[in-house]
Amino acid sequence: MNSDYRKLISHLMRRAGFGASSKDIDRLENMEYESIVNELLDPSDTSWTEWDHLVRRFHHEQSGMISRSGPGEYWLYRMVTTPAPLIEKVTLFWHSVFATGYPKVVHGKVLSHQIAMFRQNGLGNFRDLLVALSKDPAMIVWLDNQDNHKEAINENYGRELLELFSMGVGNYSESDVKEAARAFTGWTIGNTEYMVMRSSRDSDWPYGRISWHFEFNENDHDSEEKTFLGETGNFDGEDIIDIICKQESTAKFIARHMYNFFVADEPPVPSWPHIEARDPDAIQQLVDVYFASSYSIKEMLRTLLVSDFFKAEKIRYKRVKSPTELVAGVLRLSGHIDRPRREMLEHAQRLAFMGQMLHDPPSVEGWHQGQEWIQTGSLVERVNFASEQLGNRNMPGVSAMVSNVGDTISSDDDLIEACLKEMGEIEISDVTQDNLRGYSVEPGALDDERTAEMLRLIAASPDFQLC
Amino acid sequence: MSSGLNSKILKYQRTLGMTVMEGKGFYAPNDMSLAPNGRIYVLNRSIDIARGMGIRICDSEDGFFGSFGKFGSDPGDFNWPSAIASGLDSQIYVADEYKHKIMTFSPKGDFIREWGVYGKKKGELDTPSGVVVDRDNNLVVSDTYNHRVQIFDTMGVFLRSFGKEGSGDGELNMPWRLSIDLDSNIYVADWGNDRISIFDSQGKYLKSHGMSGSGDGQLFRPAQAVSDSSGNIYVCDWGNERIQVLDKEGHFIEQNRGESQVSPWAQNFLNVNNEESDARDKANLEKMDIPFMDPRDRHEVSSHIEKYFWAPMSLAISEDEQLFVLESNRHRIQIFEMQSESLIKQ
Repeated sequence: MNSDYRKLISHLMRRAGFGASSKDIDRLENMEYESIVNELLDPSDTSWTEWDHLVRRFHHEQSGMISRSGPGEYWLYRMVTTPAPLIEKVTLFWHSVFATGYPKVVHGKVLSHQIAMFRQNGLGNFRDLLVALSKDPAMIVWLDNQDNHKEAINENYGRELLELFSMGVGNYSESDVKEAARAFTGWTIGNTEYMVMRSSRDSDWPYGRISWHFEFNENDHDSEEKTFLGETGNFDGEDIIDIICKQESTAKFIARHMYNFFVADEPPVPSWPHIEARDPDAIQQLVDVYFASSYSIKEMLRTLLVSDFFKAEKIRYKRVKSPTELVAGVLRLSGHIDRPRREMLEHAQRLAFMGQMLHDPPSVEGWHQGQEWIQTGSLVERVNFASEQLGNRNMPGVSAMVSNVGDTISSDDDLIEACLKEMGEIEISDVTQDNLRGYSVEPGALDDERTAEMLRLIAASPDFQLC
Repeated sequence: MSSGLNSKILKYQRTLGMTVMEGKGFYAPNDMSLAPNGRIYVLNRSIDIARGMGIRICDSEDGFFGSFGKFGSDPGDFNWPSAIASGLDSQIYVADEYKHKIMTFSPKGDFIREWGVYGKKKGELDTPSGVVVDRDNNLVVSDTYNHRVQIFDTMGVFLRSFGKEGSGDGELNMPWRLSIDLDSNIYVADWGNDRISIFDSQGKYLKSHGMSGSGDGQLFRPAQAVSDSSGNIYVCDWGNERIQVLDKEGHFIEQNRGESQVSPWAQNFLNVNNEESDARDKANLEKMDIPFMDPRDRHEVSSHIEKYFWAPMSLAISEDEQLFVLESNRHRIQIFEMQSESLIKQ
């Protein structure tokens, strides 16, 4: 057993997934690192059919989705039970970049369909993703493109497409925003009046929600000549996206988002024009791959995950886990969700208490991540949730960890080490180690209860909040 | 696929209900029972919040007679109410798959008793998701995570059980709803095995119908099957979002994806909400050539097409041979006249 390699795998699985158990790492350590990355990027089993049916059978709110919480609960189930964690992680990444929220859309099913679209396109070609995003009914209503008419443009989507979804402030002009908006006129949803009226009234009547679909209204599309980023033509939305994708600024913008999500915290997006990227060389590597691979997100991510800057010890345990990463990771480890359970609703609600209700970002800019996750109230929630789950021997995953630790351990340090190994080869600081060392007991007096208590204490440590 | 418009057996009649959290309508309903007195008891699972959970009482002519039951932790309260049945003694029996209990109410909704212990031993329950009353007024209970069916008297005394986990003859995989035919045979929706398994009243295995798939006669996570007086079998093919009609030998006759129109209760709502009604009139809610993410995903398709069944999960046949189909995600009941095969042949 190569301890350093197991720790590297643990790092990869925390960042590219929601953590790994000791058993997971036992399997993975027999593989080359690049093979593990390949398996994450191209998992053999991406279906979730069995769980999909189980969840919909028992959770009606996650089937018809007439509630605000349904789509997030459904997605959390998938994050906790999926055999393809990177697919969900990438989906979560795009949800944080293209943040779309319930308060304006007021339709859980179309928000869930947007997540499915991210799942389908999230590791594909960035151009295809932007086209799908621009046709996504939830996005259209979220940014008012149904009100973007040939005779009276609404710039909201055109502006955010450039500012928050692709190039970033400072890389385009106000004229470009207007021209982009013109190109997206006529991109709307079917039965616009009825669907938008029902959303604005939060109407479930008469028969629950009706899903939305994209519709191109040619009569409302401005097909006249436009000049965008220096190019002139009778552009439509897809032409605009083609031009956007060619820009160096787009590549840098997406690369910095990926670095921020998978490697190390960057400042909030509005600061990016004024603060240089933390690791410009890393960003440039990703930019080069973006162009060399014709905008492949998967190839950018592959480069990132096998890079030295990703593997570096100095960036490990420096990112604060998002509430979703924390809750999904804890539940995967505790094994609580071995079948549909009503308590899942409470687990999903804890996300909101920690500051990240899925499908309800604070604004189109998404959540501010990093240290901003840690507030007085949210920290208490985070610590309580992790320690309640991982100190509970009734949870199958915890019971298995306790059993694996066994009763042969005779020293504080051995107990701590064994628990850290079981929790996925995680590491803690010397300060935390000292604090935990004072907790343990005399040789021979260790038992399952004490082991579970040690798991609970590690879960309650500051180190566990980091990944 | 048959749209239902050319159905030979099923002829759409009308729709009951609409979406409301409380009062005259349903809220994520998941089961119903047609009582001998003509009342329909509709069990509303709600969306797992305190409001909207309970039983609404109506009839097939749009009469509304109140509601009872609520979410809570006291005896008689619901958590995950899963199934409802009317007894020969006129009592109402409700299963709760979170509490692992069966509750008894009077026809007016007064709580009488509850029983049930979580576990794996005979007489214990793990997620009861179906309940039906046999001709001896015993309760036949689908014990889902124990992969069996158990039979109790109305006081909860265990009588017998049948089935065990597996996919062989007589074995079950997460059974859901049940029904009993005129010969007292028990029809089990063998959800995880994509089939309907039929047992005699003592639990002896007789036969199964269906295999995995979405073609004619194939099933995908069926929720329930009921049979009519001629022996035809109506399968609530939950995973395929449709109803299939099979003959008594299990041969496919027809399918129906749903044909709902606006119910009188829904029309009342639209009559007093003119703006919404006008906008609805201009909308095309049956448009099929839309960019589905996956056109083969019937759950997604049903979410777009309002008249289609969406999460159908309970069936019942009235004394005058009408088929009631309850849909959880559309919060309504579609009623079909069942034309007999002999009538069709004429």
